[in-house]
Amino acid sequence: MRQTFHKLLIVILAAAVAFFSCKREFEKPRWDAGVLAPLVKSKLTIRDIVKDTAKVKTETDNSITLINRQEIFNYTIDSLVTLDAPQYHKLVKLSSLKLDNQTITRRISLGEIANQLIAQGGESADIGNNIILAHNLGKIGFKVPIDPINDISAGPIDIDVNQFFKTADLLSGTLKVKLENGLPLEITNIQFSLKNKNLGDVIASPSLTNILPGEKDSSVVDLAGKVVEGNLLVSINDMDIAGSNGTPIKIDTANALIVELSISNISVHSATAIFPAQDVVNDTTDVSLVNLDDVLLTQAIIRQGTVRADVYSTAQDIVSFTYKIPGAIKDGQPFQFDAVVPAAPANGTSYKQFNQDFSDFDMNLRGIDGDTFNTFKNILVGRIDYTGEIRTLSLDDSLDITLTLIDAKPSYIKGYLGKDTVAVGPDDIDIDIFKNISATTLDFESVKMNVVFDNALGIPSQVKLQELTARNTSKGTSATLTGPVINNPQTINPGTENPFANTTTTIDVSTGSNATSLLNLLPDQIHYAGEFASNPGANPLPTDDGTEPLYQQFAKSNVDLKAYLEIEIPLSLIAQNLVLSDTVPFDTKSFNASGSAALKDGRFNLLVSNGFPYDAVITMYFLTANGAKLDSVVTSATPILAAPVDASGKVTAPQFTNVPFAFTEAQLHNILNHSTQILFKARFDTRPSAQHVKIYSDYTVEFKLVGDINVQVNSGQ
Amino acid sequence: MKRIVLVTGILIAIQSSLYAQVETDRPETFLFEHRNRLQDLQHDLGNTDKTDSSHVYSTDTISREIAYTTYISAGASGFFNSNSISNDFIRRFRYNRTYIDNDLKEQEISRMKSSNRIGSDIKIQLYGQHQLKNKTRLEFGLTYRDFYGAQFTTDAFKLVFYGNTIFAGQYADLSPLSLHSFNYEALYVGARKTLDKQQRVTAGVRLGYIRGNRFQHARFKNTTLYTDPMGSYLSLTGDFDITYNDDTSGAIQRGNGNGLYTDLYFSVKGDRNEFVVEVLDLGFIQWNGMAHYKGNGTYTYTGIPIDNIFSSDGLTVNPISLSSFLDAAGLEKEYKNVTYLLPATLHLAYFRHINPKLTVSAGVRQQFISGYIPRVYAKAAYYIQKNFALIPTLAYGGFGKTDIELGLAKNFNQHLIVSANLFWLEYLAWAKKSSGHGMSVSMSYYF
Repeated sequence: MRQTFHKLLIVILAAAVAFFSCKREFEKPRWDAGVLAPLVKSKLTIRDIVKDTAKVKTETDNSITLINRQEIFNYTIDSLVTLDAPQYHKLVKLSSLKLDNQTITRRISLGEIANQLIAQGGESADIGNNIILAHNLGKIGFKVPIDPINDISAGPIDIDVNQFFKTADLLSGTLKVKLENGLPLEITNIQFSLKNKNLGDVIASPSLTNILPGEKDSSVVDLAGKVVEGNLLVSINDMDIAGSNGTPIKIDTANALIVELSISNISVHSATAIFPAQDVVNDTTDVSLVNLDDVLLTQAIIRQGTVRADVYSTAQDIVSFTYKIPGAIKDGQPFQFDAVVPAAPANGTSYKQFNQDFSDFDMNLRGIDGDTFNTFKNILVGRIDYTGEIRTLSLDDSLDITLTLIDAKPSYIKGYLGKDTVAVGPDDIDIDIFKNISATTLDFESVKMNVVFDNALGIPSQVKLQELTARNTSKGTSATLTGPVINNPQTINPGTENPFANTTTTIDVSTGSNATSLLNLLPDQIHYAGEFASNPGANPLPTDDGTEPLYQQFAKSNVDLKAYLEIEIPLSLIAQNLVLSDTVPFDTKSFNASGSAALKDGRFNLLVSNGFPYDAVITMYFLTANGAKLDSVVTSATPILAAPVDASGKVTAPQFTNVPFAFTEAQLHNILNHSTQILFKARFDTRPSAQHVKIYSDYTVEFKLVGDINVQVNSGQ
Repeated sequence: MKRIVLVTGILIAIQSSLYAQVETDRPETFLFEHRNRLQDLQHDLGNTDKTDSSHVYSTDTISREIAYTTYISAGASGFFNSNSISNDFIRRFRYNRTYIDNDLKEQEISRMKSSNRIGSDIKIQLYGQHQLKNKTRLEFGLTYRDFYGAQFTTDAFKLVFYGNTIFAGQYADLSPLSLHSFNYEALYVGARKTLDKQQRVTAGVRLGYIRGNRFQHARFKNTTLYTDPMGSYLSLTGDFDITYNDDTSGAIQRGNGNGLYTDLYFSVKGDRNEFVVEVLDLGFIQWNGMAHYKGNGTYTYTGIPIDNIFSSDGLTVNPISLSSFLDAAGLEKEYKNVTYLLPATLHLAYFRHINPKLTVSAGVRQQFISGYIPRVYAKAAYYIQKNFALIPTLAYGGFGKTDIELGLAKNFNQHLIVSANLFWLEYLAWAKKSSGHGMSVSMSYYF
């Protein structure tokens, strides 16, 4: 029993699961039903038909004018000038090398002198021994009278100045030798010499006389052109000491001569030394822009650009330098950049490149003295800093600097912007205002054709239209403009700077010309040729102050001088067989995916309320993705009738037309499953046929597509 | 027998228009709570050994309830009924899903009344009961329900199956038109208690939580649809509202609503008589994010506007749905939460045990939904054996008219009760001239 129950329970559960899982309805019942209902509706004005509403202008009487404006010429600030500057190259040797003033003191004791006398032997040794004896007696309290001693010589004695320099090749400088007599006796005469220890050459041989005990005397020696080493030797060549005139005196060998050497105002050609901080290069020059022909600029604001510096240095010390263009100002600060070039290896070269953004600087181009054009002042300062370390530098060391202004473009220039003559064309422009339109007869009541110059540049200019030809390339027809404008120079007024404003110069090419016949061709291409000249008048006076009006010309980036070909066609026309055509995408994916009902046979009624004074026949070609024709719907059997017009040619009321078209199930299936685009062709005839009819902005045509169709509900499900 | 049960179960699971009520008059109750107690008396009087059975019958009262601890039941039921739509139409439309031709449409139109009703109710239920103290039993269960009820005019039927072309230049009368369709799952618990010592009076209550899935509701009052002779416009006039959830696919759908409901039960038993009152499905569902249209006036559809066929976007052909029709007619679709009452049922039933072989029952059931009229019925339970009964039913009302049903109930080993109610006779014999059919099956086990 229990087993039976379990089996039945499983059956019930399985049945429940089956119920849920099988609930999805794979099929649905089908039936046919007739649907009579509007499907879609649309209301079109001329602004809908002409897709680009910018080309539709509503006049004050609500009539419509088609406008086509296409650019044919563009003259920009970059067309005018390029801010090419020559590379600024400077090979500068160190202009000066200075060493700090230094003083060194050397104490030469009497004992040191006595020992050197003893070492000399002979009479000198006696003197030396006597000095030692007198010193020893003095130590036990005895004083001894000293007789005059002459012709004492001593030395050489080392003097070490390596703490200041190892060696220096002096261009200038002085050596002051000061001697303080620390002996108890007067020195009546002393001659000594100072020489390089290694080279052995004598740097100075000063002599002093009559220096009383405790007193000082000095002698100054010019060091120009001399080489001084860090290891010096001083020698007393001849020293005479007065005696004590019989008076016993106490002799102490610790008493000494104090020699003080002071060097000052030292400028070296080269030195291995600890150099103080000092400018080693200082150069100020003018740089002139090139390739400007007759352009004379007084000012330029840089839109973009970079200053690049390539620096080579042979100096074995870090060289800092500053590059500065004082006449280029941004945010109140001049253009400047500071850079450091590393120390070069011995007998080698170091290199460094620097880049600095130059955009947005306002440049004064009047040069150092403010009396020239296209020129800016630049300053280069190089310096070494105190490091506390011994370096070898020479005036033969150099900085090789190349400054380059890279890809500089102005956002603003001022000055005389030069004469220029530019050929405009010959060239062709495609115009699409008549694209997709054809007609057997087309007669515009009037047209306007202008060449419009919109000038934001502060340059007087002139243009000459040499040729203007309209072409209908599909028909192979063309017509060339004739009239007073052809080959007749026209002046283009400059823009104004204060306040900044464009000036528009319109050159009417339709008055007195055959412009209407050009447009009646429904051209798709305009061929043109002409000549543009800037500053066609006189050259500026050779003045230096830049105040002459011709120097007030300007140009800015982002604004320019443009020329447009402007066509205005008031929509008042006679047309026969005027055909508009257009291809639009046709998307049935959503409909086909829904599968809610399948369309069978039936018919569509196109209910049209036509507010235009045109008879119309509409043809729809259903195309495949590659443009092949699948099927078509043509309303020619029941043309859409034109709305009636009153005596003034204005539509009085819309005209209603029902255009039926039947279809089979196979046709619909074909269209809905295979068509991806529709080619619309609308053929119009103006009514009344021999009268120009005007189109107004409030004219509309209302379409409503009504389906009177049989559907099969749930078909395919 | 097992094979029959298997086939029947699958049929119930697959077919969606079957009939049964998991209510007090279901066939198995004639072998359980409404069993013929005269059989017990006869049994007791004729059998001196009261313990020869695995179940002990009480002898101190005439009620003699079956003593059991736990009771579980699984069942499924479903029906379709109408006062006009024939079984033939339902078979071809719903089951065979074939092509509905004009002959069939005309056949149905000839049966139409001024107001036509149609409804179906499908339930699958797992149910359990367990004895607690103090003569109280705990009830619990799980239910899936799919309900559809509608009231419609002949013009509405024609509009659906012929389309609006036949109404060119005419008004199609759509009132009264109502539709209420939903499905849900419910989980409930409850208690049933015998209130007196003699076990004559029993009362019960259940409280359930509902997870709502599909919901469709429409109501049209004084509504007409006018079709312009050229088809230039359609005009809908009247007072109407439409509410539905867009997601209607799948049997187990995402929850779109939550609700609560209660079932109430009361019965009084006499020596030979028994009277039962039930109130079922008294509750509500709050449906969330339902698409809702409401209109009162005239709404004219003149076509789907397209801005400009010459635009670069081109022309797109979309199917025209009810939604796009209503949108284009100027009705604004809004999404909102709505609360609707469940179609509650009041059921009164009377049982009388005529003799040990025969119990008769009569009752009336009213479901509170438009299109449903009181359904009165009479049943007779004939006990071929003490554990096997045939239960024919004659009923009138509800969504349909006169119906004939046949119930079967069999108790195996005094533990397992298998029952079925077959509402097939008219469907099989007079499909074109009859309406309504359904079935229920259940299996219950007690110990």
